[in-house]
Amino acid sequence: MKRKIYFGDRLFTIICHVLLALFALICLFPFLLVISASFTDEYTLLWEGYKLFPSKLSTSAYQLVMQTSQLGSGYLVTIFITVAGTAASLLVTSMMSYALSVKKLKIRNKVAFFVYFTMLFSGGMVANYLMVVKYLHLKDNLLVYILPALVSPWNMMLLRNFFATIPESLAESAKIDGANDMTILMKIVLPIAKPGLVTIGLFYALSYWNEWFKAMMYMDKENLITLQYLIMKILRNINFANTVAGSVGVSVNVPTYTSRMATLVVTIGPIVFLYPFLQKYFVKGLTVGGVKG
Amino acid sequence: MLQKRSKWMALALAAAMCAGTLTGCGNDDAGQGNSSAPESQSSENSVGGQSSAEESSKGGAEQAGAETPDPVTLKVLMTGDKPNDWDAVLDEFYNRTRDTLNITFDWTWVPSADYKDKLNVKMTAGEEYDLVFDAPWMHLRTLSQDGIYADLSPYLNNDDYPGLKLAFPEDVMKYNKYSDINCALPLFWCYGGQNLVMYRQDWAKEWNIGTDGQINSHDELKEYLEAVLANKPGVTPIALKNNRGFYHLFDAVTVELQDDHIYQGTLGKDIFFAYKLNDEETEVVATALPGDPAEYWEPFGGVDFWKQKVETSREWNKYCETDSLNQADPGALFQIGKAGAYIDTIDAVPKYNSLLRNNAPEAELGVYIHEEAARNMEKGVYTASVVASNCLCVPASSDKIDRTMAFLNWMFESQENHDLFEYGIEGVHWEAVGDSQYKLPDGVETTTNYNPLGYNLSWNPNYYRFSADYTEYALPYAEFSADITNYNTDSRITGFSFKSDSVTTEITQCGAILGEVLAPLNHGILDEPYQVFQDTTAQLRENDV
Repeated sequence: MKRKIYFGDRLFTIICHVLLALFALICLFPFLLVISASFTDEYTLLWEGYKLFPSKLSTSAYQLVMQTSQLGSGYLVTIFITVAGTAASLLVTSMMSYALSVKKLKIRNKVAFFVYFTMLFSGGMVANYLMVVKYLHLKDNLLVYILPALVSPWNMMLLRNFFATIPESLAESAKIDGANDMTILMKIVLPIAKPGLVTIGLFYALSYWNEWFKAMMYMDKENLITLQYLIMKILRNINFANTVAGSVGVSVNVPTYTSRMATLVVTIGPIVFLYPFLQKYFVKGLTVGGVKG
Repeated sequence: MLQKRSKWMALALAAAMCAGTLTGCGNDDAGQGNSSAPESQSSENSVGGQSSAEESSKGGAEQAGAETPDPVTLKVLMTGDKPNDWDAVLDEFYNRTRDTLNITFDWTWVPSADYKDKLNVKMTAGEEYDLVFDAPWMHLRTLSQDGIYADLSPYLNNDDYPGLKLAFPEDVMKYNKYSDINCALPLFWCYGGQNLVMYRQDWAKEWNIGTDGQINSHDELKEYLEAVLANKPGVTPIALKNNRGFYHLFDAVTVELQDDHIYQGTLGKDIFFAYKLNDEETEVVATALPGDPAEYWEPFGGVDFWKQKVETSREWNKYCETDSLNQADPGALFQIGKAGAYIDTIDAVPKYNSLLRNNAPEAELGVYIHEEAARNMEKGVYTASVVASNCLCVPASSDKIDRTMAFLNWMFESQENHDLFEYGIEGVHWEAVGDSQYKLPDGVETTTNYNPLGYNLSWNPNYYRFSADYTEYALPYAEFSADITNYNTDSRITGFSFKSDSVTTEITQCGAILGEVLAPLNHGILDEPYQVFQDTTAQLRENDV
């Protein structure tokens, strides 16, 4: 009897594993198609469609993508703003969140509302542009990626709620031992709030990594644009060149489809390897601030 | 004690933060002070734009004529990708003009998809540029209303600027006014696009269709599509684009109706209508929408132009892909031989001619111009559209208008100067073929070669060169469309463009409803197609949309 249950359990586990493996394969399949499509030529792709093993191999799409000289600077800019931006954002956000979670601070609700207000209303594109370009003079400046995004109201609220779950008695006992607020934050609160910080950090890192709008709006110098905007630029320009070629009486043979795939493969690089290691924090992130204790 | 100390620390920190913020504010103020200067200057310039332009136009002409002027850098905001070898072209320009114009450029390229937004914020924020691209379908109307763009009329029709006088004659400029001023230099090379069907002439020859494979009528085209269906399994007879369907293939021949002052119009992209003018062509006497009851169509000869169009589309639907509504790139099917025909305009001929030959050396591109009057190159039949879709503008805030115009004058002064920007350096990026054509030098890859500009900087019918990839049959049609003398420019509707600002909501509502049925009807997918049109139009009229 026992053996039967044991066998049933095992069978169930095996079926689950097989199903999950199949599901993983199904998820992986489009990506494999993208890679194989990027290594063929335009004619073969159009004639045969997307196949795992195209009949003709070609690297012409990669040659086209690599001829974009800003690929290196795009990577550098994106990595820089992701690392520096995440560190700066975490520092400032945690300081602000801590201040707002300390009940002693009388104006905390007013400040919190001030932050919350920006989640509901924004000045719009032109006002933002004027502010950044005319008054902050951040056009063609790498700081424009980081400064306006230093504190995300949503992340700040999340972290504040997380701090609020830390027992007040910890801070009180530290104060009795002579610690000031800065020491309490750095030595006691932040180490306890590590899961929250990692989650928020991940959110920040992703938003910095995916930044393209500010590059589009505020950067005229091509060596200061981010990787994501560069991808958009390459693809949009290839599409446009193709459309224009058809409407201006010019014969241009641009490998539209294969170059799209090659661009994807070239730029997806580091982040795709990072995801499997970080995904558990995404799950945790969903519960940050939502569960007591 | 400790609490006190922490209070003091907090106070100090708060003070530091406040100080930081205030310092920021201080800088902001300073910034505001600085930046308000050009803004006020800009508004002054825009009000008195003309007089300042008049004064400077003299200066510009003098500078262009005599000694080397002071060096100047012009800031240009342009749509599109930076062309390959752009720096080499600029260097060549500097070499040629160092002693005469002495201009250098600070050129900003913005991808076309982002250009509209970026232009708007940059112009609204008063950023200083000396030359920008704008278009009636972008912000040209609103920005010209706001006085953002300078009046360029003092430079036009001015003997000191012969290049501009030649490229932008009064006949053209009078149709391209915005806010009643000539603030936009029109960029175009032809006066009317020729709609056509491209097909495989080698197949048509093989099946003895048309005159030596040349299709000359809808019947012959139908015969060809039937033959593709029968002889080429797996090949779609005709590939349609999702948002176009059969496009103008079955349009009513309104050319003949123009004598009765009957025309077709479009509002937005989905609202088509017919209108009739009085004999003097001074006012509209009747309008009708597709699917309107017979009484609406009485002034138009009693026949709804769109009835035959949608019914023929339904009949021909058997020649299309089953999911043609999702086909974004039908040209790709045609170029690799998976489609027997493809609908486009004359400009697309060089591209598909060269692609077809690359993919299948035996392929021969056939072109069927389906409008009879156009096929017969009848002079004066078609009304020219002299309103350009793309333009160059000079912001009124620029203090270098004269130098900018001197540059434009130089570019439009001669074929040689114009070719430098439009096609690149001769011998390196392109080679002349005869007087009016060009080709790429042997061994040059199109993906790394200079990308011909034009629509965004230099298009002009006087200097346009046709690609050597035009087929022998198609080239005369392309040349025909670039000559304004072949078109009727006396019509009252020449240069007319409807200002839709006051009825934007109605156009959006109407377009949303019509847009839902228009694509399936254009592809011939719906049964009882005319009934669908009738029901939709009745619904619109009932709801007073």
